[in-house]
Amino acid sequence: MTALVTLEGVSKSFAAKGQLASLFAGDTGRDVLAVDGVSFEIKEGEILGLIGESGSGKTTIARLLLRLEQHDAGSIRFADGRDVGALRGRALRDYYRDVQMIFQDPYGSINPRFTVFDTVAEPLKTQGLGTAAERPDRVARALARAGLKPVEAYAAKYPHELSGGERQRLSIARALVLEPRLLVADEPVSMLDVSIRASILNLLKELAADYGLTILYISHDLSTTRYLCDRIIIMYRGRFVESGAAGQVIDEPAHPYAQALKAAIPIPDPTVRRAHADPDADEEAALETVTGCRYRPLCPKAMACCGTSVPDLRAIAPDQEVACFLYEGLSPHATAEGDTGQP
Amino acid sequence: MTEDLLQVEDLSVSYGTAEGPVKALDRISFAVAAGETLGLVGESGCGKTTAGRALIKVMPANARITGGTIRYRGRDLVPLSHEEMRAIRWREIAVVPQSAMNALNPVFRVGRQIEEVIREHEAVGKAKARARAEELFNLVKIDTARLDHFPHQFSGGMRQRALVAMALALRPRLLLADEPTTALDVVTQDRIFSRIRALQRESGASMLLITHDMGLVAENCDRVAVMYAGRIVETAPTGVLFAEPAHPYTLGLKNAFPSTTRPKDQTLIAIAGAPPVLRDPPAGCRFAARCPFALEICRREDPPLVEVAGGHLAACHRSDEAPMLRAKAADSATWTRTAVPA
Amino acid sequence: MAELSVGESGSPSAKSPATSGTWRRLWSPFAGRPLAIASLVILVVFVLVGIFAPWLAPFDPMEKNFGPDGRLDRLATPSFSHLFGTTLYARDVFSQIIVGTRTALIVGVITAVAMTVIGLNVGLVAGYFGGWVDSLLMRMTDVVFGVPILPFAIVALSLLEPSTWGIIALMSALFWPITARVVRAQVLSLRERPFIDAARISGAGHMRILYKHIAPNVMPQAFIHGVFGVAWAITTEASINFLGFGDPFTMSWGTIIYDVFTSMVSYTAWWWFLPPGLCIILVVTAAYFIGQAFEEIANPRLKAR
Repeated sequence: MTALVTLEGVSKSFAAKGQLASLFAGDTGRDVLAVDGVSFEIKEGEILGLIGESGSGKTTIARLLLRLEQHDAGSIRFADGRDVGALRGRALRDYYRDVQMIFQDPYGSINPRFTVFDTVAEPLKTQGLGTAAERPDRVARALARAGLKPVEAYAAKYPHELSGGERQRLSIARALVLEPRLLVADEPVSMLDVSIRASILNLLKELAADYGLTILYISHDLSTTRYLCDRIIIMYRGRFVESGAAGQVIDEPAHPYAQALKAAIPIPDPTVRRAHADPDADEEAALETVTGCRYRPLCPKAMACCGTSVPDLRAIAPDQEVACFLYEGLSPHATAEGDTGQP
Repeated sequence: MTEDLLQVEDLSVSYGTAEGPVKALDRISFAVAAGETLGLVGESGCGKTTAGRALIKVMPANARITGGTIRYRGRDLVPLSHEEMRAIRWREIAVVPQSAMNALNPVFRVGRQIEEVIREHEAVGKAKARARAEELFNLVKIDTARLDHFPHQFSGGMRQRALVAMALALRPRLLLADEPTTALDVVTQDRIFSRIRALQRESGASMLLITHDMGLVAENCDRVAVMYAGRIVETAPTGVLFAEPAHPYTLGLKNAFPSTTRPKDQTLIAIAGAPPVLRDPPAGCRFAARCPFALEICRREDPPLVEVAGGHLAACHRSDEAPMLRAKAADSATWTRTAVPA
Repeated sequence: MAELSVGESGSPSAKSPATSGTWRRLWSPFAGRPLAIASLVILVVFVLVGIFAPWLAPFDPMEKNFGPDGRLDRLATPSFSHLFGTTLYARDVFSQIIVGTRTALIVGVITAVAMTVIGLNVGLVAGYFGGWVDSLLMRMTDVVFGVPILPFAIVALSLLEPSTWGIIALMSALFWPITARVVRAQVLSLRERPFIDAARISGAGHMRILYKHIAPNVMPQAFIHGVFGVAWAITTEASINFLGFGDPFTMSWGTIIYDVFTSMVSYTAWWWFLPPGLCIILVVTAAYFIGQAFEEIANPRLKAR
């Protein structure tokens, strides 16, 4: 599989403003490094999961990919060599034919004054695609593909007449109408009810299987990611801590943070007993700015070296890479492709 | 079995809107025994939050209890005045709210807010209240020096723990927790629930946990009541509900819930359609339009909540066929018959 | 704005919401509000009177009327031939009111439209682009906002040729900051909404995002302030004319009162000054109530108070 998008050493920081930001940066008022030198590829045709808690930088990566934000360092390249950071005007508009996004909030991401038809026709209009006569057809196809059928029943409706699940399908139709190659889905089901969640996940699965759509699925939720994704990356405070085949990484996480994350998920089966996190772990420590591995203050297995240098992602199994000194020297022949260290 | 601490019977709540009343709760009944944790589960708009708020009678201005009783230790709370309710809130029934940021006043120190709750309900001096607040922070494992901090100086998890402390301030017999951790990360959520469970064990308090998360229910609740469109459709001990669900909605929820423990290639099955509009609920069973097992009678007659087995009740005309429905529900083809998209 | 449509819930069938929905939405501010409905009726009557003024006025407002005895019919009390009586110069007050209605409406509507157009654009651009554009536009807005309207109008008009168009231009130039501020505040929150990001990644440029995606969502607020603007404009125009800085050759409610005042008969000729006064009060109050009704729909929190 060839890489559709390649990120190399991408960093993005935000000026520390307001309470929330200063909370993460301490009271020093320093910039918040939301994404800290990450490198990865999204391969053509795969569903890649990017997992992390709030503040991990996962949404920032999505926004950088869509050029809704501009990265400070590193490079983001699309398959044909286009430098995403350098795209302007027309070139940027053309880029959006290849890369589209669906958002977390099914209520906020659709213009309340647009009908279903207008919402999906808008990208065609702004891109100058098709004639006015052809557009209804293309819109209808996108709506049908997103499962809003029968199309005639939906076309004239306004967003407030749709349920959350229907809105998310509309969001997907709006992205699909441009026939993109990459779909970035930022927590697309986290605000939906459980009974509807599955239908959206299944739709994304179908789109990947039937149309070869490449999907970057961003989520805080290991269980939906495991269900949907081929490969996953786990982020912690702006850095990658583990990546690999979804089943492998989620079923047998190697990084202490990934292990803690997995262990904390409540299991919907009363017959299963799991070990619970220490209720009294020092949360304040997690907010400190630290040298070395960022998980060190919370890590039960932290060593002296964790405080002095940053571990790189290293392969520990054919389908699994971990950025942790515990696994250093475990498989000396394999080195990570991505260098997460500072330049 | 121990005496029920809380007994809700045929409780109905309506919201007045410009287009007419919306029956958010339609004759729901449930009970919480002393020391027990009852889970109230359902999706957005099913009425679970309304039910919680009705219990303590903290409701929006356009909401009204239109019928039923809420017996707390044998005394009906429905006719009580605001003054009488104030004596019960916090002291008897305490709330762990959803959003810690909104529940704490940003301009006052956290310690002061806890002390005020204590002094409002108990005739104690400043020093006593302070000592109690310190004791509470020790209970929820927050450094007592933090009492003098403002809410924004706390992390999300600490704020939520401070609220747990506040809820426990007057040693209530019943904790009302409405999605207490939805705003938090999963690791923090796990810590909070471990803490709540430990405190509950020590104090023997009961808890009503309102949530949409089947995982939290499985791990924290002794019994579960499943709500759908303003009704309770099934209630059972947690183990029974997960092993032998009888209502098709519960069956559907079970199919739809992703988990890290289920086989990766097992397809999740969504329940097609959406809950009915409560302004104008359909005749018959409210789930009928989405139910793959619905019969003629389901669209005509409202099924009562009847006992399926000891302590296990379901509101379904076909609950006597439950084992067959369970077998069929596991097949995704069963659920595609209703052709409405979600 | 989304809140305008909260009354509507999902309907199962596909209808043509563009027409029936719009009318229902436009009517919703009046539903169950007798005061707003009464205000609407009053305003509609005035609008009709203004439109058909030349046909409705029984006399030329500047025409001198003569009594049966052939003498000027000065300061006649109301009668069938002169419903509101006559002025000191024997002109028909009723006709003056009718023609003045047209002036009041023209002044009110044009000023409101102009202030909305200016304020909307300033608010949109300032809120959307932020940064120095925002600072510059908002400092301008603050300066204009600080100008006291009547004293400034008097000074400006005393230097210029007095004309109704001058008054309209002046009021438009002074009223827009209110709209600009309200619009900017809304744009600031709208531009953070994900649907703006969605528009951006559909390939929409700034102008399209501003005028196709954001503007329709702030129009209701701008419209509300436009309705208030009608009221302010009519009051201000009347005041300017009353103070004698208006165009003496245009018949308006303000000029009528000015005439009463300068004729020094305000204690006796009640039929002369009461009608224009009542008209001003009626139209301005009606406009306020209608604006308020729309505002309550747009901003439900106001209702509770």
